[in-house]
Amino acid sequence: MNIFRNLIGCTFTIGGMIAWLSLLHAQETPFQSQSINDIDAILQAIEATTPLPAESATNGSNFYSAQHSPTSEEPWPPLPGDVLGLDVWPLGDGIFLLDDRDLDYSALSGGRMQSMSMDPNDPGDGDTNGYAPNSLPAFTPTTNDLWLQIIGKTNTTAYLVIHPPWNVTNGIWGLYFTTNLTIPNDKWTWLLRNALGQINLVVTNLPTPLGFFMLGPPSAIRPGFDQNLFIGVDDKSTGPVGLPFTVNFFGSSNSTIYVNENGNVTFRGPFDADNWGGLSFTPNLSLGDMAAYTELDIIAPFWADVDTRPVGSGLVTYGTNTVDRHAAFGVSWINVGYYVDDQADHADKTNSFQVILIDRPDRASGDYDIEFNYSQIQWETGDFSFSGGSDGLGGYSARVGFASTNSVNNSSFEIIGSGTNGTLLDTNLATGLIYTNFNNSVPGRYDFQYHSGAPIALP
Amino acid sequence: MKACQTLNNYFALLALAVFLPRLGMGQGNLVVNGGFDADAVGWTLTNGAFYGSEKDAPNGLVYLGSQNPSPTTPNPTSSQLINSLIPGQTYNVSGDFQKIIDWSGGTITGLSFGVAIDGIFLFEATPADFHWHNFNFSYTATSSNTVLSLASQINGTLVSYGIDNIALYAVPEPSAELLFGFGLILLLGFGRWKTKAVQ
Repeated sequence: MNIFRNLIGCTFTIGGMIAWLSLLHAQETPFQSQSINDIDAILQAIEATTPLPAESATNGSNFYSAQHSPTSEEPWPPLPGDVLGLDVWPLGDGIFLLDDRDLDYSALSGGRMQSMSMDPNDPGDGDTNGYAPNSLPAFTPTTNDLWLQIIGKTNTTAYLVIHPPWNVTNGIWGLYFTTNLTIPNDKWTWLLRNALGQINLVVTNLPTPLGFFMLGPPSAIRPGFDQNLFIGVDDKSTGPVGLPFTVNFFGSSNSTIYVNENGNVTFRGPFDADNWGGLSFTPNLSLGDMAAYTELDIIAPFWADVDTRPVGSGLVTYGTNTVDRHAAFGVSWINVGYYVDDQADHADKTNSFQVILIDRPDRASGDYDIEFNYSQIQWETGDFSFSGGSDGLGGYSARVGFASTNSVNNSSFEIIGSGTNGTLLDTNLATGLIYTNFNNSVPGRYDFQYHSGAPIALP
Repeated sequence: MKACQTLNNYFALLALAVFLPRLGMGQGNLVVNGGFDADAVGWTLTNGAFYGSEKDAPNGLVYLGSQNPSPTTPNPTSSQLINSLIPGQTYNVSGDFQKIIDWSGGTITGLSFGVAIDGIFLFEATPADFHWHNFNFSYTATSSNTVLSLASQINGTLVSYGIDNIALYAVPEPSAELLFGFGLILLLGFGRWKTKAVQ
């Protein structure tokens, strides 16, 4: 009897719980919140869908433009893993993603978007912002995503807030902009880069209608060029490495190149400590004097005392790829540390830079580009005693440029700030390598166009 | 007879004690801390010379050089007072040296590294490459003390060097060696003959 009574009691108890949970579920209100967590959840849901087709990737940019036409009720291409964020504009009663001012899209469940062909200034829908209310299901909140919020805009100005992941409080990102997502491989235009830890951005002089904003890596560095790994060594060079095309460098025809750990490549021989001692890691000479002394031709995106041995430092990679469908050879120094006498910590500061030689027969036979790319420059000098540097700063700081001794004029060039303390660092917002550029609009990218073995123009 | 054998052993030991120092043998390396394994203790470092490690010499070395020198910059020098020399005795001085940086970029040439005894360079060189090289020369002591010094950027040059494994040994004279060896053999042979005779 007692058992029977207990069973009935349990049944009622369980039934009550089910009813209570059902009530809770039924009372779940339509999505109206503007909270970060809700928006974050939407992004998470979008990211959970299938990967973006590779062909929609913007060539060599690390950014992806979504391919879709602004018709109603179509699947929204999910975000690939390396897209760090997209714009989110929370309105009074809905969430709008990727606003282009004329054609607006609201997020639907399952990562689908619904076009909202309404004029934002149209008050006819009863919404103060001109948008219709939208209901969205609830999602589990997360704070692991980076996303960009539009908190306000005028015709030509947008006020943005970066919401970094919880574990990235001092991130640096690039803000990119495009007016058209319907054109495959349409390039995103770089607008600005946030300062260390800066989250509030204001973009002025935007074209109307506004387009799409996207946060991306601040990197000018191109992907690839990593088929070969230069294992952690100090002051060493590779043997001659074959080039995918012949490079006429100031009159000297080269089919091979030497990759030197200390931030440069050379023709005619390696530039390493075995052959050139401390000069290979102490840039006390100008590039021109160095070339004259060693009788090497040098291309130096960052000639300094790189040390890739310690844990925490990246390695030097090199290889071939294409840049805008042109054959290219590149060397990347990604997150590389610097030499410290006592090996205490070679990687408390790291640099990321790259040199790419790009074949350009489309311009003229024998033409090519030399591209220097920078995404992070935290140190400028190794701590070897002769360098005069301390903690990666001061002393004989890095030199950037190129030089040749085999031309009639012994040509050499160094960018402004080369060899000068503090000028090339990320901390120098005016002259830092990641902020400046030449011959293109990407911050941190220097493009030297070579014709008949010599640069057409110099900054 | 046992007493006689013991006496012979004493003679042999006495001969070693008397003649070995005369030959310079048994003194060992008279340079203190020539390997710079942990520091440069025992050396006087001047004009920018400093102890270091790493960069091809993980066990330590002394750098003879200063940052951004000029032809008038005093020579970076590492020196040590050597004691217990035997006047008239010939010694061999040796060590390793490596060109680190030519601050002039090759525009100033000349002999840039030197090893001196009492201020007089007895070895001078400028290697063409940046590898380790060995120096080796002999000199005859004129007193019981002398100053051994190694310097870079000499002769107005601007080349810095690293030095390591510095040593100074007495050189045995061939005639003395022969005499000593002959005497030793005689003593040992006499001892063995006596022993057999007793048995």
